Amino acid sequence: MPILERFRLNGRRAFVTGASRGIGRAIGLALAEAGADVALTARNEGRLNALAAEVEALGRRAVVVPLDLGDLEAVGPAIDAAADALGGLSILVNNAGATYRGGFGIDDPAEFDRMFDINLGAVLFGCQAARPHLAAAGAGVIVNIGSIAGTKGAGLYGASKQGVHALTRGFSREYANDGIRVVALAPGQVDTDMTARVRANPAELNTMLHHTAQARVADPSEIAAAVVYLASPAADFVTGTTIAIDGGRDFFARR
Amino acid sequence: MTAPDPFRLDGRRALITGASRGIGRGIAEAYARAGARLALAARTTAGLSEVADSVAKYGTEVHTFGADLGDAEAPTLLVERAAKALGGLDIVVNNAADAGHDGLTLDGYRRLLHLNLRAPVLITQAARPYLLDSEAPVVINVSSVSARLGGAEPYGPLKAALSSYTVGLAREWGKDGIRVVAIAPGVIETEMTAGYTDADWWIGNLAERVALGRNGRVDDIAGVARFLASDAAAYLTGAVIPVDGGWVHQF
Repeated sequence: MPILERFRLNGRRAFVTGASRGIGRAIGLALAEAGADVALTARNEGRLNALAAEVEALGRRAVVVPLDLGDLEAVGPAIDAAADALGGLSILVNNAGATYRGGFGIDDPAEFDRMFDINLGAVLFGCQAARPHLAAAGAGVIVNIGSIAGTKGAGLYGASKQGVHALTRGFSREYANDGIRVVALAPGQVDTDMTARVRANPAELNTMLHHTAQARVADPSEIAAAVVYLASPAADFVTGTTIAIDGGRDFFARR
Repeated sequence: MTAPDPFRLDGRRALITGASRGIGRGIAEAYARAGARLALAARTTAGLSEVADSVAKYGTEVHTFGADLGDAEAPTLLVERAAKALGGLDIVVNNAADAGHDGLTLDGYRRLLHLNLRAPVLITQAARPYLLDSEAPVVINVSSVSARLGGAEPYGPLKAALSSYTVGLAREWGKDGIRVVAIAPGVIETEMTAGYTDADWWIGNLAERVALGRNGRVDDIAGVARFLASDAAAYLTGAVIPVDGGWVHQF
């Protein structure tokens, strides 16, 4: 197969969480551009519908699945419904993430639970629910969006993301029996609504840029490009690993 | 008069969770032998009375507390009771955990999230004011080799979360002189791992993949936990120390 053909996703069907904005939106568009049909999930149906129109303009099918991932019991049925609507699933992108205001502490146990449910629980149960669909499709791929906040240790948010990296490693061994690859990306600072609060703080932004080789933040499409690669046959020998896409972030300065 | 032994813990006030058996009990014994005063917690005090009797030979003070640490209020309450009994806290060992054979059910996932991660965070947070008053404060989290390798989901991922928390909190609290470290045990022979250590597939792995070719013993962890709590480790923080017999044969 010509090398660039290996990066194509023609005929693939993907389920993308957190698709209404930021990195998830870019992933939805990139997968469609690479040839995949996509199920787009998030809480905001209006933004999903707008994105679906853009996907259809690219000549691909889009299915909108409104879903609050904080409701873990809803994850499995949503994946099943999307697989029905698309005629199968071969790619799951666990992208949705929740920020956490509590740093390293827990003042509100409900907020802690919700953050962990979205960042780790929904990945756990999403992988389990998608597994039979991906196995049936053959050459299934799960791409989890972790964070360098996990590897560096940045609050309980980072802790949840480090959990995603470990889950990726563990499930890669188990799911290989079904021909499914499980990989993760650990983005650094990306220009999205979710992280705008961090960049609005000049001191924090300067420290961060000071510890990033490229001294800039990423565009969401730079993460999406890696998702296309990992989801494609070009990455057929890649599983279990977490790839940092962070502009050369070295370590967090001690504050 | 010789210089004090930096590996001793004389008079140090230590809270240890999950202390009725396994690694927690081993750490309690090691700390008592090193001269520490103990607050021991477990689900029920019944299991702790035997540990308290056992360490009595070292002549140190021991308090026992029953606490269901999966409960949202229990961790903070435990710290208050322990600190009151000991007159403060110098050492916190977050050891209690559930291996969870039902972690892929919603109830199982939530129980593990609360016991294996929320409880250590709440305990550490409640202990902070006491640690700030201590001359040699340290938090020791018992993580796992599965934090690096995954497995037994969500047990492994939650241990990974605990390791990440350890590294980050060491940075946050370093300026206050509070050390935060973790131990990542391999397979240690305890009740928790009984089903594991007897399994043929593990016995094969043990021979081929673990450098020392044997399972760990509780004392293998307890010795490292004593070192980490002591002044001998005064410059050691933000580290997750593997104590696994050498999982080096990964190729």
